[in-house]
Formats: sequence, C-alpha cells, structure tokens
Amino acid sequence: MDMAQYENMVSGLDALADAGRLQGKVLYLFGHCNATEMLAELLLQRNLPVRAILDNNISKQGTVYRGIPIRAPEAILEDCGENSLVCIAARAYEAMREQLRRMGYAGEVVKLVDYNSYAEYSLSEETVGRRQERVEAGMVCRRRMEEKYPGHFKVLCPFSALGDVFLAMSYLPCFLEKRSVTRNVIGVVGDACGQVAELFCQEGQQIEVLAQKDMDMLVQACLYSGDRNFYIAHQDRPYVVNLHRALYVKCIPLETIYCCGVFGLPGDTRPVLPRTDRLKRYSDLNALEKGKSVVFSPYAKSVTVFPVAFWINIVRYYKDRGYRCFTNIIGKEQPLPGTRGISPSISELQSAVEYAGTFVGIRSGLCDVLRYARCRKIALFPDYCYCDTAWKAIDMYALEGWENIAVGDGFQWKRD
Amino acid sequence: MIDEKKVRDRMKVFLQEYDMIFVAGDKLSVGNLFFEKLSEMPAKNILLLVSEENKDAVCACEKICECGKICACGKIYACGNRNIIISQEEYRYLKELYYMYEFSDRIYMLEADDRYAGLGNYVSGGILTEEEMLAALLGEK
Repeated sequence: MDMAQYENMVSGLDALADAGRLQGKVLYLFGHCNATEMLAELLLQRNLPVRAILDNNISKQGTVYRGIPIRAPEAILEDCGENSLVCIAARAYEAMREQLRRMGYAGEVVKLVDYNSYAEYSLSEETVGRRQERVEAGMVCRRRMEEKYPGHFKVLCPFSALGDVFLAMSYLPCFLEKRSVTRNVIGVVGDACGQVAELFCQEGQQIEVLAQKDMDMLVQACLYSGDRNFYIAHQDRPYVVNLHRALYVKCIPLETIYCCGVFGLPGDTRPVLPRTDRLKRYSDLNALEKGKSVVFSPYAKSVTVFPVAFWINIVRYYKDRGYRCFTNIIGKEQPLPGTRGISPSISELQSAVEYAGTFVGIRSGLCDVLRYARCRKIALFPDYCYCDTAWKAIDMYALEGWENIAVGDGFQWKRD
Repeated sequence: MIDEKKVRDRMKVFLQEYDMIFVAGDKLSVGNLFFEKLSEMPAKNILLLVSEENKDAVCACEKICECGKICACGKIYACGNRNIIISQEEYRYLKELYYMYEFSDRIYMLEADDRYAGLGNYVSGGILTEEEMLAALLGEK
C-alpha cells in the first residue's frame, strides 16, 4: 500500500467514525494482507477491537495477527448480522462482498481503499452508464497516446509494482521479436516503475509514465475498443487475465509465469538483463564501507511485513560483527533502529548493494531489481501461502543465486 | 436491436443461480475436452451460454441432462449442467459489457484473445497439460 492509498484509508475510516457507523459495531476485516494489517493497526490505535480477520486461505485460518483471530468467512454468520460491520482494504473487495452476500450475511460491508477501479458487481442502468463514461474517458487517454506515439505498439504494465515491471521488461524483447514489433511504447504506472523500465529501454522503444487511474482507464478503453495494437503485460491484472487460476493446480514460479504465461515464450527463453550503461554509481557510495556494510529493505507494498523487533535482531547480529548498517527508504519510511537511511535511485541501487557487500530484504519487487547484483543477497519470505493457493510464497518467488529464507514461527536468525 | 436491460436482467438471474458462467463465442479458446470435462462435474452448478454462431457444434438440449455423460448427439455439451443458446446480438452485448468493466468474477469468456495472457500459453509452453488447464479453468483446487 502506498502513501496515497494509506491516507485514503485513514480518511475513509475517519468518515465512518464521524458518521457514527463504527459505534457499537462488531468489527471484522476481510482478507489478511499488508493493507488489512495496516487497517487493523489503525483500528487498534483507536481502541476499536476487531473480532476477526476473515480469510479464504485455509492455511491462515486458525492463526492470529496482533491478537486478532483469522477465521473462515463463514464465521461471521455466527454473529448477529445487523450489529456487525466488515471493513475491506483489498483488491478483491467486490468479490469478497459478493461472497458474504451469497453466504447470507446481511450486515454492512465497507470498502476502505479503492484498489480496483475495474470492478463493480452490478448490472444496473446507473452502473453501466457510469462505466460507459469511464470507457469514454479512457478513449481520451488512448487518443492522446496514439497522437504522442503514432504507429507504436503499446505494451501496458498495468500496475505499480517494481518486480512485475522488471520481469515484463526482461522477457519483452523476445515477445516483441516474436510478434515482429519494432516501434513500441511501454506504459507504466509511477516514476519508480518508469525507472525500472528505463534500465532495459532499447532503440525505438519509448517509456510513458502514467497515473494509476489513467492507466486503468486506458487499459479498459483498449479492451473495450477491440484495439489490437496493444498488449497487457501482467500476470493477474486486469480481470480478463486468468493466469492465476493455474496456481490452483500447479506451483509455477514467478519467472515462468512471466516467460511462459504472460508472453507465451518457451520455458528456456533467456531473460534480457538490465543494460549496464543504464546502471549508475550511487552518488553517496562513500557513506558505505566497502564489503563491510549491509543494506536492509524491510518495507514492501503488497507483502505483510515483519515487526521492527524482528529486524532489530538482525541489525544487531551484523553490528556485533563490525558491519555498518543501512536501511533503504523512500518517502516517509523510517530507517530501522541502529541503521542509517539511504535512498539510492533505482538505477543506483545495484551499485549501492554491491559496494556494501550484503543485502537483506523482505521479498518484494526491490529484490527483482537487485536480482543480478554481485554481492551476498538474502531474501526473507513471510511463511504464508500465496493468495488462496496451496503454495508458499517462497516456492513461487525464490530467487536464483540468493539465500531464500522462509520466516515462520520461532524463526531465529543464524548466518555463517 | 436487442433489449439491453432485458439481457442484463437475465444475466443478474444467472449470476444468482449459478456459481460459474462460461460464455462460448465465435473464437473458442477451448476444445471438446473442455465440454467433456464440464459434463463430468454436474455438482459444480455451471451455466454454459453458447452464441448461436456455435449452435451447430453444441447439443440443442436446453435443460439439465439426466445422463451425466456427453449428450448422445455427440456434440459439445455441458451435461449435468445447463446449456443455453443465446443470439449473436446477446453474445455481442455480453462481450461489450465484459470489456467495459468487471461485473462479476464468475463469468468466463471462452475466447482466445492475443491482447493479454491466457491459460492457453501454459499449454503451448508445456507448463500445463490440457487437462490441467481445464482443471484450472473449472476452478478445481
């Protein structure tokens, strides 16, 4: 969850509180994810107890987060519907709400973050009219893009996620070659994704950075208009992409999802690496001690993060061995206690961790950006199953050449 | 001209009644094996909407078949589930709605589209067998 979404969630919660809609309600959350954890924190800070976090993932049911039990969605039916309120801060809001209704839950369900502008589970006249208007607004974005890049094939990376863009760009050249595409423009969301795309950018290729809202409208307009001059380069967005369903029958690593699933390339296709001339030397390299520093990356947008106490233990481990410790931060993120914050740009990151000698991070898209860095690289995985599949995150997201570590109950940091 | 409201109202009823709705249009992304597989899972509460362009390929029975097997006529058929032929206009309007926004996560267009990734890529890439792809499509966990 980024800062804008977080602020959106806080103001949504404020509005509910101001309207007295939280008063005397039994609160539930649906979907145990990073955003739900942040929402739980907010509610607990306001002394609003949460009865349970509902989740379809069987492996999560029966566990506890911050004292809140995680239970099957049906558990809510044990409560009086009229007196309960389900808060949802997840992309699948519409599907979750519908699931609750089909189960027979009649209480209130509220959306606290607007993650998915594509979905609205209604076929009313009003909804269709509104959606038609949205498509028309998307057509304006599409026309603008056509005018700016006439005759270019459009490749749209529809979501702001560094790892997805990195993998898309790694296999895109082979895909474009297969389709005999030369002039093309890559649409990405946000500057950070733009910087990732720039690492790979080739002759005849353009990068267009869009806001998430504009990207969503553009994608929708391209789908609706039947435009054959574009391609959506993503594993599970928007709703028309059904690759994720394969994970119900087989564990498919993320790299294979992109190579074979997203781009339809043979499994032995070699990924293209970032261009060395695009990788820059970190401007503040002297702050690090060469080979005797650690760069930590404890933050992630879409993964449930580890508590600070967990990281403090690892920082202490390295400090005891004479390492200088740094935290990679952006915006208002705080460095871990006992470390100094650094903020290399995307193109400088690799030089920073290579100079430091060691990188320790939660498995996020940042790890993809650093996947080829020549240093000791440790990726930490929360020990949970991916969405409602049977596969652990480490099975799907493990990185070649990295130390991949699952962090479960009773985990103790021990390294050589 | 079709009555769009009527089509939407009909779809609302289907969405209340069925767990999954497959829509078979003019460029099918699945073969007969899909329909055979469908016929083996009568408990799934699945509806198959078939555009009339495909009507010669499918069994014309419009009600739940008792036999639990492929229909005797040998044509593609969701035996044990329900199979409804819809007009081309109705199909086109459903497709238009589908690409306008996500109005349900339980509706599946059985149409190959090279503008985005599909499960078929896994089959051609040797990652999934056709059987596995169909199991994925039919939501077997």
